Amino acid sequence: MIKLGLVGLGKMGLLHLRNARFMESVKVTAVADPSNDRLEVARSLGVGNVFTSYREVLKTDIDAVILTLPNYMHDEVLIEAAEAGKHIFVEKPLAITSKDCEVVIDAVGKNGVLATVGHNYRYLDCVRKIREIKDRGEIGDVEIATEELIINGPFAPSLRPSPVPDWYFDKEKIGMGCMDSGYHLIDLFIHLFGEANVLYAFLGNRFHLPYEDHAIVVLKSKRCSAKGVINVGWFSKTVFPKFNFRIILHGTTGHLSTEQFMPRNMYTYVAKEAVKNFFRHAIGKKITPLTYTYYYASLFEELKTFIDCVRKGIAPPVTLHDALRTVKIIEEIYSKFTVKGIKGF
Amino acid sequence: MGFCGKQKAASAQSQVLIIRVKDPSLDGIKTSLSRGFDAMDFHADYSGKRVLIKPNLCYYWDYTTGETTDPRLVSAIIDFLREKCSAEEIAIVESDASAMKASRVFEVLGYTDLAMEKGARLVNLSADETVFKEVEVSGRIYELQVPRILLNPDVKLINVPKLKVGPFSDGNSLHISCALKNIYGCIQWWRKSDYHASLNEYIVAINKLVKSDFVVADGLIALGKHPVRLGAIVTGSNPLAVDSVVSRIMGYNPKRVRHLRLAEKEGLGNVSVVVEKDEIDDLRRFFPRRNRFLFSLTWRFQLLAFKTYVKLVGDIIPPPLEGVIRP
Repeated sequence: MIKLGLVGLGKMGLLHLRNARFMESVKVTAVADPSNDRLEVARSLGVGNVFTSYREVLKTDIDAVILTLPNYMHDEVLIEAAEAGKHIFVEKPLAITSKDCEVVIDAVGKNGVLATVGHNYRYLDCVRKIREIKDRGEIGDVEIATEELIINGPFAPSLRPSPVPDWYFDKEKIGMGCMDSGYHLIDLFIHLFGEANVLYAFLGNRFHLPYEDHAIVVLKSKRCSAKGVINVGWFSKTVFPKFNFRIILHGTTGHLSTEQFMPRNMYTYVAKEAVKNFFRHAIGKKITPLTYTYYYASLFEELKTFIDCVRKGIAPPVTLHDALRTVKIIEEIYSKFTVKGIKGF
Repeated sequence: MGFCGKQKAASAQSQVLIIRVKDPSLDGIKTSLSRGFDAMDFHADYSGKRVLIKPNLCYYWDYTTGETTDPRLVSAIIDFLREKCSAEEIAIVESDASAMKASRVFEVLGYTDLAMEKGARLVNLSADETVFKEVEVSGRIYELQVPRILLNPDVKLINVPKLKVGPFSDGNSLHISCALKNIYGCIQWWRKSDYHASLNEYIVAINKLVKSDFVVADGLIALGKHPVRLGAIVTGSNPLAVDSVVSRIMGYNPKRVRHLRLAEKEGLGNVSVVVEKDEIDDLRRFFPRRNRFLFSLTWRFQLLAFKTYVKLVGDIIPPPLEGVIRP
C-alpha cells in the first residue's frame, strides 16, 4: 500500500485526491489546506488526517506527497518534503525561477527521494501517438512544428461558480503570464525535439492583466533542424468540453496533427467512453476514470505513472531537469521580449 | 435610428429608441449615441448630482463575447454626461458575483484605465454600506442586501446592460438578460447563485427598490446562440419598456417572458409597447435566436445522462462540471 499526502485542495488537488481513489493499493492518508470547507470535502472522501499546515502532513508516515499549490509556494514546500524523505509529485512549474529550480533539484538529490513534475500534456493520447509516429520516421525529418493552446486560463468557468484565486492576478506569485500554459507547449517541443533555443517571441496583452495573455514563440531545436511556432493564449472563451489544443508536425515525407487522434465528435466520444466504463463496472472491473473528458484522463495517467515509479523505486519519466529546461526557456523569453499591450479603446 | 414607440400608458418617460451604430469605432459610437440622445431630447441636468453608471460585468469575458458591456460605450456615455448634462461626479459601479470580484473585473476588462482616463470613480458596490430591505413580490417577501448609495434620491443611475440571452443555471433559465437583470447585479451578496432558484422574483424585487434613471442597452455585439455584431443601442427611461423591445429583437414575445410579465404585474411598467415593427424586424433578422425549448431540452437531457452515469458508475466529475451533483 502506497500512502499519499496531499498539500493544497484547490481544483487540481481535489482532482488528484479523487484520482488516487481509483488506483490499486494507494490511499491518501493526510491532506493540508487552509480552507476548512475543503478539508471537510477531503474528510468526506475518506481522508483520516486533515491539517491546515502542510508541515503536519510531512510529519505523518506517508510515502509520497502531491503538491498542488500556488506557483510561488512550490520550492519552499518541495524542499521541506524532500528533507522529510517523501517522494514528490508537484504540479508545474517546478519553481518560478531557474535558480529556485536548481536549489530544489539539489535538495531532492541530497535526500535521495523520487520527484516528478506535472507535465500532463505528455500523457494525452494524441501526443503519445504523434511522438511514436514521428520517432518511427514516418514523416521524415520535421522541419516545422506548430503547437497551439488557446484557452481561458485561470478564467475557465465551472458549473459551480467560484472566484478565481487572487494569486493568479499577482505577477510575483504566478511568476509568469499565459506562459503558465505555454509551459506545456514548450515542454512538448523539448519532449519531441530535445533542448531548444528561443528565436523570437511576441507577448501581447488584450486584457489588462499585469502580464501577457497571449504569446507567439518561435523555438529552434538544438538537436535537430525542427523549428516550432508556439501559440498560446488566455483570451478565449472556451467552455468545457471544448479543447482548443493541437500540434502539427511538417516533415520531409508527410505531416501529422494531434487532431487526427482526438475525438472528432465529443458527444459521441463521451457516450462511447461512458458505455465502456458502464460495462467495466457491471462486470465488477475497476473503471478508468475521466476517459470521457479526454483531457482530464491525462492527469490520471501522470499520477498513476508516478505511483508506479514509487512502487518500483525507479525514476519517473518526467525529470526535474525537464522542468528546469522549460523554466529556463520561459526566462529567456521574458528576458529578451517585453509585453505589448493594447492601451485605450 | 428610430423611436420604437411609447408605452400604452403613454408617458414621455416610456419612450424607447433604437440607435443604429454603423461605425463601431469609439468616435462612431459617440456620434451615434449623441444623435440618438438628441433625437430623444435626453438633456437632463445632472449638475450637483452623483451619476452612477452600471455596466454588465458579469465575468472576466471580453466584450466581443457579447457577455459584458463594451467599455467604449461607457466611455461615450461619460463624455455625453459631462458635455451635455453637466455631470461632474461620475462613477462606474459593479458588485461582486459568485465567480468574480468587481475590483478585479474592472482591472481585467479595462475599466480601471477607462476611469483614470475619464476622471471617473470605480465603486465596488459589495464594499459599500449595506441596507437590508424586504420587498414583496407575488405575495412573498424577499430580503435583499442593497448598497445604500443606490437608494439615495440624489444619485442618478444609468443602467448600461448587455443585450443577450439569459443565463441557464439550476434549471431556471431567463429568456433575456438586459436592463432588469443588470440591476440584479447590484445586489451586494456575492454568491448570487444562491438566488437562482427564484431568479425571476429576485430580479423584480431588486428593480422595485433600485430605479434606473436611464437605460442604454449595449447591442453593439449581442449574444444569442452565438455573439453577433448587431450594431444597435436600445435606450429608454423605463427598464421594462427597454427589455420588452429587446425581447422582441431576440424573437421572444415579451408577454411570455416570465420576469417581464412579473415586473408588469408588480407595477414596474408595461410590456405592451407599441412599436414601429420595421426597426425591430430588421434587427431580429440578424439576431441568432437560441431555440429555448431545444436548448433547454438538450441541456436537461445531458445533465440527466451525466448524473445517471456518475451515480451508477462512480466516475469522477472534472473541475468544470463540479456542482452538477449536490452533496
